[in-house]
Amino acid sequence: MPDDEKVMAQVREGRVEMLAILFERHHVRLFNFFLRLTANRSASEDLVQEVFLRILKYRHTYRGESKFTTWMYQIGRNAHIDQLRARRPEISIDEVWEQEPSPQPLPPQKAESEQETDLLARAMERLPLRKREVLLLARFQNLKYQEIASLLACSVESVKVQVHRSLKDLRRHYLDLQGGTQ
Amino acid sequence: MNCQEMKKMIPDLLQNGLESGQDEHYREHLHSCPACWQEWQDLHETWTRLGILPEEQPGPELRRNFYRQLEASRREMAAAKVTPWRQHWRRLLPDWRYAFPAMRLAAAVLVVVVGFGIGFMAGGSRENGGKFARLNKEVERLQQQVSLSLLSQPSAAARLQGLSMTSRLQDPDPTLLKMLLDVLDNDPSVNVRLSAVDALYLFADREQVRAALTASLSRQASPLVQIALIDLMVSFKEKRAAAALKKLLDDKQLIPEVRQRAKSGISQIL
Repeated sequence: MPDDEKVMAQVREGRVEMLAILFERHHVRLFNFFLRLTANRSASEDLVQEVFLRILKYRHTYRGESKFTTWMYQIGRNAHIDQLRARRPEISIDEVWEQEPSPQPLPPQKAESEQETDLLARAMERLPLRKREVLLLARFQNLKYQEIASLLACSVESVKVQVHRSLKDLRRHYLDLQGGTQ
Repeated sequence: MNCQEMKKMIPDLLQNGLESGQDEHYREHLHSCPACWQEWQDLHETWTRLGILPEEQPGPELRRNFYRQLEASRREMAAAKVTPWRQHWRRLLPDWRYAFPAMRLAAAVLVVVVGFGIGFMAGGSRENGGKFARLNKEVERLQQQVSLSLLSQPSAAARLQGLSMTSRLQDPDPTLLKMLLDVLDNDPSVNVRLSAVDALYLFADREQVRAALTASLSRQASPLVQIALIDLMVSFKEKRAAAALKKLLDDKQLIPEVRQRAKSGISQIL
């Protein structure tokens, strides 16, 4: 199978039907990225749709210098920021990004494994968007710190510090929630 | 190595990005420093625990919308390739209509040039015909790749999508046919196996597909799939199919509806 960068180069040259290969390879993972970031299925599906629409529209801007996935997540971040702006135009995007979400009520008791998954998802939702995003990129999207740094336009060291802090905060929220259920 | 350096390296250790030699170096520190060991343990446990978050599947509408969008874009591009010629002729025509008498000779020369041009374009259209044939072949190859990819997805909805996509193919390659037959025999979902029967119906003019479908009958446990296969085999009207149906009747566990359908099938074939 040709790698993503070769397939995207063909899409850029006008063979747009090749985008189907990239869609099939990445749409589920991209959907899960947005789902864990927004905790909203319908918004996540809209975002995946928007990302592939933008890839098609801006295919001429793909230079092939970075990995296709880094470029795709860059487009994904922009689409997400635009969606946030449209939904909350009264607040600056930096504020939305750093805001501590208000705690949601605990769900009813479930089976143990289901409950653990639920608590973890809720602990994740308690992280501000900026921390949630960096953790998702590092843990689930197979992106190296170097790639995340180029995506977030910061240094590799800064990415590592953010991952470290986000993980510590996630653990704290998880333990808090776990204490609340016992 | 001090604790500060150790903390900086924890994210690398989590992603397994360290070279093995260095890895050993940090492990030594972790074993000799209880505070760093505790921090590493906590973060590593949380990092690993994140793995229990399940991978969710998006709704089928997402895929449908994407392919609709892609098709629209492909059409737009095809139309855009034609438009510049039309615009070019529109720009030329007013000059012809309002040309000065002195320009008419040039216009006559232009007619000759256009004559040559038409000849050239006629040659070109043959070439374009070849290009379209190549493009169609390429699209078919791509559809085969996407079908194969969908058929190997863990979600039954994706596999059904893959089966439905095969109906657009004129000439599936042997790998895809083998995959379809494999889905028919081994897919855990009855709905997917039923759809595989429908998908294979389109390619049943091939000898090896008919033989494989006949052989599959004895491997099917679901009455729904058995009945779908019997109906398909009856449509071939092949002696070999009758033998497979007779063999099926030997099965004492066969439910009455399937038995009835098999008997009626044998009488239609023979």
